[in-house]
Amino acid sequence: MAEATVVGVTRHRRPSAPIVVGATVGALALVVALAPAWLPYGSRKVVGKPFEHPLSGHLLGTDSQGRDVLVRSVLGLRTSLGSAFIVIAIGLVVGTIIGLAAGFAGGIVDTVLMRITDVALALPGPVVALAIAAALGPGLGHTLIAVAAFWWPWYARIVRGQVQSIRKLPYVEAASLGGLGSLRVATAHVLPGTVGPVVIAASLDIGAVVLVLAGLSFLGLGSPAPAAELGAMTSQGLQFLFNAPWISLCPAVGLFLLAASGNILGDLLRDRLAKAGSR
Amino acid sequence: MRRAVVTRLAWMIVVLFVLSFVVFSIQRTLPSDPVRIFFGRNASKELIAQKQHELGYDRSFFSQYGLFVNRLFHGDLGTSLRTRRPVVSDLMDFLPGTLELAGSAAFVGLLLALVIALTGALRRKGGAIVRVIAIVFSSAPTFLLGLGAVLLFYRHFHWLPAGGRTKSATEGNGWVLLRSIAKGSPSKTWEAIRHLAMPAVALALAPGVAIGRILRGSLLDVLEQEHIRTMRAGGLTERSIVLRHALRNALLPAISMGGLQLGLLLSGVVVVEVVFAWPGLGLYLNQAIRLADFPAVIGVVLVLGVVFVISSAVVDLLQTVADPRLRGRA
Repeated sequence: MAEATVVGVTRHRRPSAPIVVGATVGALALVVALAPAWLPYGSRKVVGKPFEHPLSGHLLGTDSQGRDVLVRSVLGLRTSLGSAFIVIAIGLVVGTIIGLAAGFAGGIVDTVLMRITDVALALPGPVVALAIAAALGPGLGHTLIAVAAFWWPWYARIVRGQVQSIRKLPYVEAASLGGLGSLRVATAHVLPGTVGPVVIAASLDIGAVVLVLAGLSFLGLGSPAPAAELGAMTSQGLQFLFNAPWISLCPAVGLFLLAASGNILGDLLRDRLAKAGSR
Repeated sequence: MRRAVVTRLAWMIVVLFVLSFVVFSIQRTLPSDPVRIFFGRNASKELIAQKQHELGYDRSFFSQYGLFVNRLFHGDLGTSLRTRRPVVSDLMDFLPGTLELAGSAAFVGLLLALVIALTGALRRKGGAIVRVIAIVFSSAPTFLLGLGAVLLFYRHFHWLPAGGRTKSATEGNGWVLLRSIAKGSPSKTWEAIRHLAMPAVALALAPGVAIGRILRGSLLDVLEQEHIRTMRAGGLTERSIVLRHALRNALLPAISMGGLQLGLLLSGVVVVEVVFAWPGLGLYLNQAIRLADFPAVIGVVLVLGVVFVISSAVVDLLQTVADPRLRGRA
C-alpha cells in the first residue's frame, strides 16, 4: 500500500490469496452454519425408501433408514465445524492463561507450569483423549472436553514466549511503575500483545482438530446414534460399503473438504507470514 | 552423547509414570463401578464389598495408585468385561498385529518421504505439486483413504484382499508377517504382504507426505549452501552430493516432523484397523468402546501410550545421532 500512495497513483492491488480463500471459506462456513434454516428436512426425517441411489430424487441418495444422506452430511459438517471451534477456543483460553501466568510470574511458577506443559506434549494426545472420552461416556460434549484437554500446550508455549518478550518493553515497565497491580498489568497491558500470534497458530489447527474429532466419532466416541455426525455416519455405513458406498463415502468426503479448506487457508497464511518474516 | 541419552531416558521414565498416573486417574473417576459391572446386577452386597476390598478400592487415592503401578509391573490389567479373559492376554494376542501394521506403515511412509524429497531436490521443480499433494493427504481422514482403497483395489480391480491378516480367519493373531518370513515360506509371506498393503499405505500416506515435504524443503536449503558449491566445483556428481553429503545435513527437521507424526500414526492405526477388519489393538479397542469394556479400553490406551512414549524417545535420540551439536546439550 505504502509504495503505491507515495507516487500518488492509485494502483489496483489484486487481493492476496489468503484473503480470497479466507473469504470463500468464511462464506461457505456461514452457509453451513445456517444449514437448518435452508435445508428441506431435519437429520432424522425419513424421506424415502432405504438405500435409494444418488441422483434418484435425493441428490446423494438415502441411508439404511431412508434418511437423506446430503442433508445429514451438511448437518454433520455443521457439527464438525462448531466442535472444532469449541475445542480450539477452550485450548486458546487454557493455553493463554497458563502461558500468561508462566511468562509473567517467572521463577518457580514458570518452571512448574512449563514442565506440566512439556509432559502434556509428551503424552500421546489423541490416545489419551480417547480414554477420557470413553470414561466420561458417549456424548459430543465429553469428546470435546477430552480433546481440548490436550489441545492447549502449544498455545501455552507460544503465549509464554510472547509474554517474555513483551513484559520487558518500556510501556509495561511504565505501567508497573505507575502502580498498577501485576494482575492488571498482565491482563490489560501484556495480554493484548500476545493475542495475534496465538490466534494465527490456532487458526492453522482447524483442519487437524476436525480430523481428530472425526476419528473419535468414527470409533463411537461422539454423539449417540441418531445424531448426524460425519465420523459416526461413515462407520455406520461400513457394513453397506459394497452395495451402498455413498452412505459411508459422502460424509467422509465432506470431512475431507472441511479439513482441506482449513488446511489450504492455513498453508497460505503460513506462507504469507514466512514471507513477511523474512523481509 | 552418553549424557544426552541418559537424560532423555530419564525423561522418558518420568513421562511413563505421568502416563500411568493420568490413566489411573481416568480409571478412578469412571462413573461406573467395575466390580459391580463384573458381577452383574444380582450380586450380593457382601460379595461386592469383599471384591472391592480385595482390589483395594476402599483405600485412599494414592495408595490405590501404588497398587495400580504394582499391578502394572506384574502385568495385571484386570479382566476384560467382554472376553472375560485377563486384559493382558488379550493385548498380547493383538499387539503384534498392530506393531506389524504400524511398523510397515512407518517404513512405507519413510520411503515415500525419501522419494518425494529426492525427486524434488534433484529436479528442483515440483514444489507446487508437492504442496498440493501434502494438503490433500493431510486433509483426508484416514478412513476415507481406507474406504477408497477397498473400493478401488478390492471391489473394482480384485487385486488385494479387503481386510484381515490372512486368508483364514483363525490364524489372525501374533507375528503373521515375521513368522512367515522366519519360516522361509514365500507364499505365506506374500499372503501377509498382500493383506498388509492397503492398510499400511492408507496409514502411511499422510505422515509420509508431511515428512517428505519438510525433508524436500530442508534438502533444497542445504543444497544452496557454500560447502555444496565447493563439492560441485570439485567435480562430485549431483547424485553423490545429495545422497552422501546433503541428505544427512537435511535430516534434522524431517526427524522432528517424524516425531510429530508418531501420535497421528498411533491414533490412525486404530481407525485403519477398524476399516480393514485388522485383528489388532484398534479393532479390540473399537469393540471395547462399543460395549463399555473399560478395563480393555484402559489397557489399549496404556499400551499405545507406552509405544508412543518409547518411540518418541527413539526419535529424539536419532536426532542427537544426526546432529552432533545436540549432544552436549542436556
